[in-house]
Amino acid sequence: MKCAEIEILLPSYLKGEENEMNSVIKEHLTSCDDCHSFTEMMNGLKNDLNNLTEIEPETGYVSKIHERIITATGTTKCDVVESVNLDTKKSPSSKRSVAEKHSARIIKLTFNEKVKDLFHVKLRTPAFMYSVAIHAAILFLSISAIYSHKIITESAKNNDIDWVRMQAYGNVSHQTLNNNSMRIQILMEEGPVYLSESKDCLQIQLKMPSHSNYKVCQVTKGVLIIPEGLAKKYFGKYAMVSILNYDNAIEVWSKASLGKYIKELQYTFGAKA
Amino acid sequence: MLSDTELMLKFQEGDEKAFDLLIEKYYKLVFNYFCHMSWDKTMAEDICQEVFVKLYKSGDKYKPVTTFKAYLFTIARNVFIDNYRKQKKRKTLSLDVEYGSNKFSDMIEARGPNPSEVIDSNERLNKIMAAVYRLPEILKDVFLLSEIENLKYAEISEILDIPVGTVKSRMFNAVKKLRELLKGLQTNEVR
Repeated sequence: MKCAEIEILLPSYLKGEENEMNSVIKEHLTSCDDCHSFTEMMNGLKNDLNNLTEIEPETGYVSKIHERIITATGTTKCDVVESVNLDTKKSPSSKRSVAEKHSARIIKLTFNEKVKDLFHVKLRTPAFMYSVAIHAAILFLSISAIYSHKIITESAKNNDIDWVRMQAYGNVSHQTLNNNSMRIQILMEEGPVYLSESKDCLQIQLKMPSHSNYKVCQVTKGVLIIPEGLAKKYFGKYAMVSILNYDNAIEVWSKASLGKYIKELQYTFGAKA
Repeated sequence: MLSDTELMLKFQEGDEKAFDLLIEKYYKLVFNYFCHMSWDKTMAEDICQEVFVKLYKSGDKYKPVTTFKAYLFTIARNVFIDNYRKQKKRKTLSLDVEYGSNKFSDMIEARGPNPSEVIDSNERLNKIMAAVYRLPEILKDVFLLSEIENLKYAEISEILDIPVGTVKSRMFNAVKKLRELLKGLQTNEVR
């Protein structure tokens, strides 16, 4: 083989990568001064670079990344909300053409101590709170029977308690607890979700419902924007909220009589679109 | 212990702890890559965090057809290039000026059994890293990914989106260029 051919193969040979030509290269190096010299140079560099120690980053980078993720995925910017008239009997496609622009808002729920007790959560430090937020749903799922029992027991004592469920995990990408508030973001960068109303429930579906009574809302940068009217109706001061996640849907339930669990419900308003 | 791919798949299913484990495992590696590319520790911290934010946001796009490390370094390199474009200019480095200076050794420490060997080793590494920094970008990329980050040529090929053969020839040219740049450097190791 010529030196030019050998030279191209040398780096991977010196890296120890397997190659059927390795024996040929080895033989060539014993007889060619130029290639041998190149090999020595490269080995010398490798030896020197082995003395290069890792550069230490600043501590606390994990929490810094968490902060940046929250900032990056939870914009408070206003987003356009496309809405349809629920009273109309037109087909879904024509309904979506009736677009309105609403003020934007981000859901921010503040739980009272009662709810924290239900989840056996004691908030201590921000880092702990973060961890709790992420695992709260899993915790609940894994021992839901215990919670159900507890809730049923309480329900028997208090007629105004039917259930408390926190099951937002699969379709919800991010939950954070900060200063006793909970922020929920949908695992969906961009795209429409479909809001349907029932007597005491606002259902948010990621697939278009089979019925025609829905509103289309836009998820933008991972944040679901709820139209003002619906937000007031379902996330009012006295709302009880449960986020259920199943079959590609998230349900947000509310019952005025269960409002004792919600200390405060806040919205972050965006500018008018 | 779960593999990187398994952690990534768990993260896709919503396991945020899996994501944290990936940060713990790879942050320092990516950070070092940026330090060697830019010689700017503050910038390296900043863009390194950006890499993991991007990884978080694009986690659902990951498919285990490539190694996680190659996927991560593809993001890292794109973030670096974006940042480079934003800054428009990049500080130029004179090899002559940097020879003997402590600039790079502000960031690194050389291993050595006694102080004099550490100083010698630091000085030599300064010169080598200054020469690496002066390599044309396309050669520097390959050299750093191969020799500092210890990535395989196949992985570098995926990251840079070039054939493995091109990776090898760039690597050869990088070493050839380094030999020119380091001519006259009297050390026991580099000739």
